[in-house]
Amino acid sequence: MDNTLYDILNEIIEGIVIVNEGLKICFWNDYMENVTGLKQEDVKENYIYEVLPNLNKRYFEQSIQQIIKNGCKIFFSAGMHRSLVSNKKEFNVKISLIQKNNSKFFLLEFIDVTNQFVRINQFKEYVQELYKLNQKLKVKEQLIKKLAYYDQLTGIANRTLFYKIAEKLIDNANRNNSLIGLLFLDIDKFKQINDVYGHEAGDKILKKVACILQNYTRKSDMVARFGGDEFIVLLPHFKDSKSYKKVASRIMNAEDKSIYYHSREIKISFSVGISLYPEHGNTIDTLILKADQAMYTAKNKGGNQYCIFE
Amino acid sequence: MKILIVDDSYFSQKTTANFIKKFLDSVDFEFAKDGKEGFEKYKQIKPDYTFVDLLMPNINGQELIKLIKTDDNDAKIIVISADVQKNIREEIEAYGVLSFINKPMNEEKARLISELIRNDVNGQ
Amino acid sequence: MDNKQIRYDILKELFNVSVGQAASMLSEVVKKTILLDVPKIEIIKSDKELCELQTHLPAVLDGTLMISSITFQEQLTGEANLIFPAEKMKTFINLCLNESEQEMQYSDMHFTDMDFDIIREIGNIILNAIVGGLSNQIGIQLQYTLPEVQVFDRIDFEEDIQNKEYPYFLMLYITFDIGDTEIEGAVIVNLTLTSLKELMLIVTKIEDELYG
Repeated sequence: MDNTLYDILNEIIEGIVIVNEGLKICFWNDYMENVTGLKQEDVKENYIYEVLPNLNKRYFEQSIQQIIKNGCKIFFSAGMHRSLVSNKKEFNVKISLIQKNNSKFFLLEFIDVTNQFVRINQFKEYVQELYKLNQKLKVKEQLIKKLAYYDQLTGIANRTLFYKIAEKLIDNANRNNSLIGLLFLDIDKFKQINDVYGHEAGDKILKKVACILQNYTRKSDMVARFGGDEFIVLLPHFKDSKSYKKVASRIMNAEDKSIYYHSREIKISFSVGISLYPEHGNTIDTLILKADQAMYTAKNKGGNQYCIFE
Repeated sequence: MKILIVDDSYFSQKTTANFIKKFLDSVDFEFAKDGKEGFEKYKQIKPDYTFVDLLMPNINGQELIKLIKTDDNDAKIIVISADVQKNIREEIEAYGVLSFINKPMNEEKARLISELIRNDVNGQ
Repeated sequence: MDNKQIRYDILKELFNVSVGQAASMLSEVVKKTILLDVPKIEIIKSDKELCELQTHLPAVLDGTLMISSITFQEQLTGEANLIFPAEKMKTFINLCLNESEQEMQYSDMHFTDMDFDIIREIGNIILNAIVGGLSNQIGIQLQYTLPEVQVFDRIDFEEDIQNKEYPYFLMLYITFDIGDTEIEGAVIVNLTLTSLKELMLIVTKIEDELYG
């Protein structure tokens, strides 16, 4: 080949190697010398496999056969063929056939993609970090939701969550023509207990009541702490207006209505007012108001009983 | 001499037979289009040599070779396959096949097989 | 078997040999055995109706598709497209890079330049084997390019391919099983009318020789 042509190939900023049909190196440009540290005169006439031992020999040979048979070009990606040329850099390789005066040569072009690799790895690390951060945030988000919607002392729903869910339940009941019962519960003489035994005992009672309400209602019922010593139980999907009585008496007759505080038993009793949707109102506020009134009726009758709004 | 060719391609069956005819005289060819039919015909005619393709519906070539070898461990099988992966070839050769030929069939390959068969017959 | 069936059978067998070649190359580069399925082919006439191709593209090829294409000319003129579901290609790339799924905790459907290069290599192996193998077996010469890799949505791809001037598609369905991952794909060879006629002429010649 013409010397000018070799000079040109030496100017190109990609690796150029030409091998003959016997896969021995005929040309090795300056760029390859720089990358590998091997001089052309040292590699010339050597097998390509000996000079580039990381070349997958069988695959390379099959590719060369394909090129001879089909005249196609072959492409080796740096992703699948690591450290082909050196440990420090990664190259894509393109191989094509050159035919000249009945002899065949193969042109190997080495295109440096090291920077791409570095960037992709940085990108992947970055994505991995973001993923981890995202996971952490999700956990925090759940915690925040819990704080926002649940009563910290008793662990049951707070007033915010109660309103959110109550509205949906009323919508559903409206659509399905079903009934909802609302139980408004207030602990009898809670203030006195607090005064006599202290706030610690009061807190214990609140927890106990929350526990009783959860144990004596269905999974689909909603138990919420409305504030202070007031609790609300919402009973959706009721078939007839009698069923709420069963739930109310179940709660009233709960066996474990007491706590032990410094080895002393403190009995718990409460008064419950009941209102019904849609009989007593269409909005949650009306229902609460009427159940609250019924609860006062129960209190006035001496407490420790339930009353329905009339 | 009876040769059974099992190949799901009609074209491939005929090509193989045509090439072999050029180098071997007085051969009766039987054909089957998959491993299932191949095994039935094998039991029926007890061929001297069975040519088996690997990629076939129903019972594939590998299964067929197992079946034939269970029936007669000395059965002479020649594999003619488009699946030319090194691992597959080694796996199949472990069954003790006479030869493993890569598709496409051509005159040179047919000559080699015919020679192999002739030597095998003379050697018995 | 009638003449038409025999011609299909010949084409199928020619492709079969090519797919075998491709699998051998692939297994060499991924260092795993590949389980092959019997390929199927169809010749489809494009009627410029979108529904046409839809009925032929396998159902697994849905959503985002990864397509490598080469164009070829000389004795036959056309384009060959290798189509795989992008999601499966991602698994395949991870397999090639030896990156286990555990390392990739997040489902990352972004393709980097490096991924594209890997697909280009795989596309090149398969399309070379199929187009090159075919031209080689039927004794014709073709000039063709290195593949272009693109990511398409199925719907866009259907439109794209039907808007081209090739009235005939040769559909080839292929299934590879690599390291427990089944990758179903298709090769669509788009041909001009002259080229399809030329191809069928060669196939008919092969058919005649069968009885010759």
